[in-house]
Amino acid sequence: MPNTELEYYKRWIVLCSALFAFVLGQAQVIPAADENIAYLSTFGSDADPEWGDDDHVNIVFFLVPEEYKRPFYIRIFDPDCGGKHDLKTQEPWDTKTRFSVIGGQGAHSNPDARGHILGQNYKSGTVLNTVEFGLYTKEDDWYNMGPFNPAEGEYSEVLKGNIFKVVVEGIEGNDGNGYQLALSTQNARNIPIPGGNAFIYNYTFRLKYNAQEVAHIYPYIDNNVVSIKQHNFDFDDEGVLKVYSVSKNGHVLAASGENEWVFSEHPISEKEKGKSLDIQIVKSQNRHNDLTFYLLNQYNEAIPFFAIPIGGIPKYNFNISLKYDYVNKSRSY
Amino acid sequence: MRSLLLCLLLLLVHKISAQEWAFYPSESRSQEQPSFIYDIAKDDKGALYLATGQGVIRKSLNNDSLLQHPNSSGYSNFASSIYINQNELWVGYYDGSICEVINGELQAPLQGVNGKIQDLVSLGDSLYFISNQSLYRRSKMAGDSAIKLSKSYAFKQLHLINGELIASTSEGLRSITKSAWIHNEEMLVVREHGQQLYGLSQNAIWQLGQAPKRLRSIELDPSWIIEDFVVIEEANTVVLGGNFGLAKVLLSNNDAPQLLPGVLNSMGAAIRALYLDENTLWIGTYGEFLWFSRPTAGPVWYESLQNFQSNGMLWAARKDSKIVLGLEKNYQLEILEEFESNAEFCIIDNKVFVLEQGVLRAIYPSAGSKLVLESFPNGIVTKLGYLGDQIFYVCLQHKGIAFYDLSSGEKTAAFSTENGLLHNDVTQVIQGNGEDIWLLSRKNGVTLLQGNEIARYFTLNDGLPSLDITAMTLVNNELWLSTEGGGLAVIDREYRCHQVRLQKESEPEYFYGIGNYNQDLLAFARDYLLQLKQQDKARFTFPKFQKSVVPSEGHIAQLAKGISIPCYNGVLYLPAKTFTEEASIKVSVASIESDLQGRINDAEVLNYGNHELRIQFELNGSNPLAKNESLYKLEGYHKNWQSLHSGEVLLSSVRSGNYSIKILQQGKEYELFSFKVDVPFWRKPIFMALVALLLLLGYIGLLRWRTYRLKERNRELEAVVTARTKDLAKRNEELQQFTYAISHDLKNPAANIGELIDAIKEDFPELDEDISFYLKQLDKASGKLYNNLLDLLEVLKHANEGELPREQISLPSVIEDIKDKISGIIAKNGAEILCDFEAFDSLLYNKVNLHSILYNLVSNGIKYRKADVNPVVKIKSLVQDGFLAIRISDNGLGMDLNKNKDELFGLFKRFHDHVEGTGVGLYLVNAMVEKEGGRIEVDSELGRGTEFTLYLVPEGQ
Repeated sequence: MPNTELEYYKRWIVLCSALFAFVLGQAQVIPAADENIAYLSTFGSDADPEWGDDDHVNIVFFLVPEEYKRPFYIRIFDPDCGGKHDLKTQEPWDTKTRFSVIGGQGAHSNPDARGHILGQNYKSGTVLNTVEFGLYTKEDDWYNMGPFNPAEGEYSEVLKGNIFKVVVEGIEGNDGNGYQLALSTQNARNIPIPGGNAFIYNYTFRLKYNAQEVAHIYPYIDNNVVSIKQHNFDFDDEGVLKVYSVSKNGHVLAASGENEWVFSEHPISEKEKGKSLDIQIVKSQNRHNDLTFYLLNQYNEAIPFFAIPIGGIPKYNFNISLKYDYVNKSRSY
Repeated sequence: MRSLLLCLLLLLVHKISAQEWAFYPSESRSQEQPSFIYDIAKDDKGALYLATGQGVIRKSLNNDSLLQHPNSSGYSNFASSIYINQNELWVGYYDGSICEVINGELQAPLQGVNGKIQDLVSLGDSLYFISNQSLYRRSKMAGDSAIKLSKSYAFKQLHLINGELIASTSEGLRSITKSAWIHNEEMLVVREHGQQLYGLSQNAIWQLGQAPKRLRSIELDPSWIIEDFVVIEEANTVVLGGNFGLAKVLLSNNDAPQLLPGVLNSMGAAIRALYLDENTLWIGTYGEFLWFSRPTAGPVWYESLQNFQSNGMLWAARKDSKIVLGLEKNYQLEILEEFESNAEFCIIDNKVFVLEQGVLRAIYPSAGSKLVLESFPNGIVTKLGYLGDQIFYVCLQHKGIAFYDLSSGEKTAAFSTENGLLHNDVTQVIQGNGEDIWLLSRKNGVTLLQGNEIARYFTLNDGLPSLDITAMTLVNNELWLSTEGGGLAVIDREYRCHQVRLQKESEPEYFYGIGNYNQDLLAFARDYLLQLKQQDKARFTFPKFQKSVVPSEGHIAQLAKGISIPCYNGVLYLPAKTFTEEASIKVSVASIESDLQGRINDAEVLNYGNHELRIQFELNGSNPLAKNESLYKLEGYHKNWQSLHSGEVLLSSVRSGNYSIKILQQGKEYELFSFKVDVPFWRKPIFMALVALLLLLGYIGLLRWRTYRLKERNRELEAVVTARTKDLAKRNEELQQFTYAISHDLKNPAANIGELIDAIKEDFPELDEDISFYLKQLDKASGKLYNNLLDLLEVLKHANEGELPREQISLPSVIEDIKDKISGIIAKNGAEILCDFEAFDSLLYNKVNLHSILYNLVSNGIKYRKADVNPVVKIKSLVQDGFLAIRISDNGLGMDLNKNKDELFGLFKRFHDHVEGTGVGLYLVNAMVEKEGGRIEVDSELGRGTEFTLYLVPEGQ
């Protein structure tokens, strides 16, 4: 028991601060807590795409708001490939993964950088730091890249911030590297940058192991989008894919089977513009499953998935209008 | 094994944990100002250049300026690298452009490539740079494009050593100039030091050159990203900078790198660039702007060390319940050993002795010697010490001091209040000259021992300014004392005590302690160390540490390369460079701007006016902690030297004259800048000459105008005169004609009157007397009228004569004619005429006039005779004043010239009435002489005669 009332309040303040830091800290880790995705996943260059990674590259963008001018770090959880968070396709572990942080002109604005298909110039911009990991070098731990100067990113007028690109390449081997990325103001723990975010166009990730786990990904629908075409690869027909929004209440999306691409197209209503969608991936088996996901608009431009959904997690708005037919004495909905 | 290494590492960290490096921020900066530094370089003027995300910062000790492109956007001001060599300064930018900086101003950018310039070098007419890990070359000409020098390996850094371009690559060090490999091992970072390259690889530190030399092995933490390093030769140390902060690596051993304790590492700052400038290490951080440290000259704080003693390089101190032994090495205090002991200790001849339970024991380097002294329980002994000649002393709490012979162990002397010591509390013992031993009591002054006897006391009566003496030291055989409340005092060789007056009134009276370093006196107060040399004194302010450094009382311990100052809870070690390095601040003029003419250059001549000058001084130096005591003066404006407190000076009302900016530093004066404010245009010689010329021309014009006006006036007057003359001549002629007509017409009636009277007399002879009388009078009057009319006619005739004909006339013949003509008068008066024509006897003249002239004068000389003297008239020719002259003198009545001179030649003027005359003669004479161009001089005196000198014609005519 606290000795004094002041001590009591102090404890509450510390507890609340820690909770706040925890919530914020989780918010700028990708995959985010709300996404309920196990890890980002990148397989070695020799891995068969049937494992779920079509191109052996993940490109993740981090947004640092323009008001933030202090050094920051990009942190990688379990960057090596050879532990409990990784997937061994065959003996021995042999995969090497390269992490590159890229800023400067073209880091995000170059079409190859944000395409749904890996373009030739996907590493556009200025390489700020590159590090390669093999086996057992940083198992079950966070590795720091940086510090970085926010001004070294590519400034985006639309997003009002500087964008940094993290390119993760499986350069050797055939195993699957599971990892997480985080944006942090400190190198010792994940302290988020206020207003920071992370987004990705071609999302390769590993679902959680257990059946009935529901993963969420949050694409942002801007005002120019009238329809979306979702593509997914190698879901192994394990469960169902649904989309939720203010006007979609669990519309079912086409789900891929083993080593195949499928797509389905869905119209976007006016109410959904300027908000995020919630695409839910529902598992039905206890097994590891890696898949790749991307979303295109009507112009075949890739739509970003944000770790922190813009406008918050969408909820379906039930629109019930009651009409009474006085002639026939009946009600209709 | 790993745990053992970890333990060893922890031990090392523990050992150095007390040694905190002093880091100083270059300045406090706001959130909006640049805080990320990518590169550091220094130009030959001592100004630092920093590459930052917002531009290039030019930094001196007192002035920062941000060099940015105007109307910049994107990355165009994002400087990523700087190259400085001699007079060249190039900046590489994040967007791939390259700019030269000339006179502190950015020039137009040269396009490099589309990518961050990682490093660049200027060589001849070309620039070499690295971007996207590739090497490029481009010329310095605008418009040219960069050429990629394609290689299969990645380029990291460029270096120019003695004109040779060397690149650090992913495959080793390669000479670009010679196209040859120098070293085939990839270096993480390569740095220049002097003209030598040093490299840091993943597992070693190298001295690179034609024969690379491995200096030591190194094991780096895998998470460390080394961004830069510097080699501090004096300390045999390499300082590494990177994402981990700062770490130190000693080249003398293979110990693991040690993170430098201090505020920079405490705050978790990442280091991007390092630059070593003499004794100052500049540290460019990532997010915390610029910091600096003085690795070989900066003070170092050693926590928990108490009772610090030194003997050369060896030192000993108490730390908690241990005795700590160490060496002074690389400008730091390194701990060698620690002993668990509460015993008293002291250093003797590179040995440390402890006195424990009455036994004196040497514990370093070997525990060989033992000496049993009296049994002093721990706690009674307050101080041990050693004086020359094997004298060992023990200060005892409340019991005075005892001396022992170190070889025999026998007590040689003991002093306390019982045998004359003023106080048993002896706080310091010093051996002085000869047998002198000085004892200091904190509250009771100083006692002098000589030959085991108390020789003298020094108290207030002996001139001590205070009895509260904190410490003493011997400098040049004089005992210096620091006091509480009395400042400093000195006891000279004659044992006379003096209080030392410091120059500044603000100097404190309370000095915590005193000591010396190589005979330079040092005293410290609450916040600073004062150094007193022969002539001047320097002040060193204690640095601000995270933990406050508060000095405690006691003497300064001297080591080989520095001193230590006793403090509460620790010791402050000051390397000698801290207080012996001269404050070499170089003052320069960054800019001078006039409100009327903008920026001005050296030796420029400003237009005349009332200028307001803004002078920007720049201070540069290798020691940012050095106190600036420079003075400046604008010669021609200031009479006295001014303090250079700020870098900017505003001077108003700078008018015409010659000015020069002078600096006074440490008694030396030098000139920095000179300029001149022009005099007004009206004070310029050319303008004055022009004005003089204009005045002259004006004057000449005026003269010419006046001449013209005069001529005009003259012409007008001449016209008037001509008209009037003509009129006058006409009137004159008419008057003459009238006069002549009257005279001529009256002459005959007048003659007729005389003839009629004669006829009456003839026809009427018997007229009575009265009628006869009246007729006689009438005859006389008519005769006079007739003669007057004749004279008048003569005058008129003469006046009307024009140019008279001249002829050669013989004077004797003219005189003979005159004598004949007046022969009756001559006879009647018995007159005598004497002639002397020796000078000349003839001349060219009008004969009638000469005859008339001489006739009148000769006849006058006879007529106006004295009654009783026969008249004598002398005629003499003579040449006088260039004239042919004739002098006629008589011995007659003479005239009063004073009265009559002005009327002498007047018409009808007469001076003697007793002789008949008309008063026309002299008038005619004068008129005739002047008409011929001559003149007449008269000399006369009443009763003595008259002399006329006629200057007739110039000689030679």
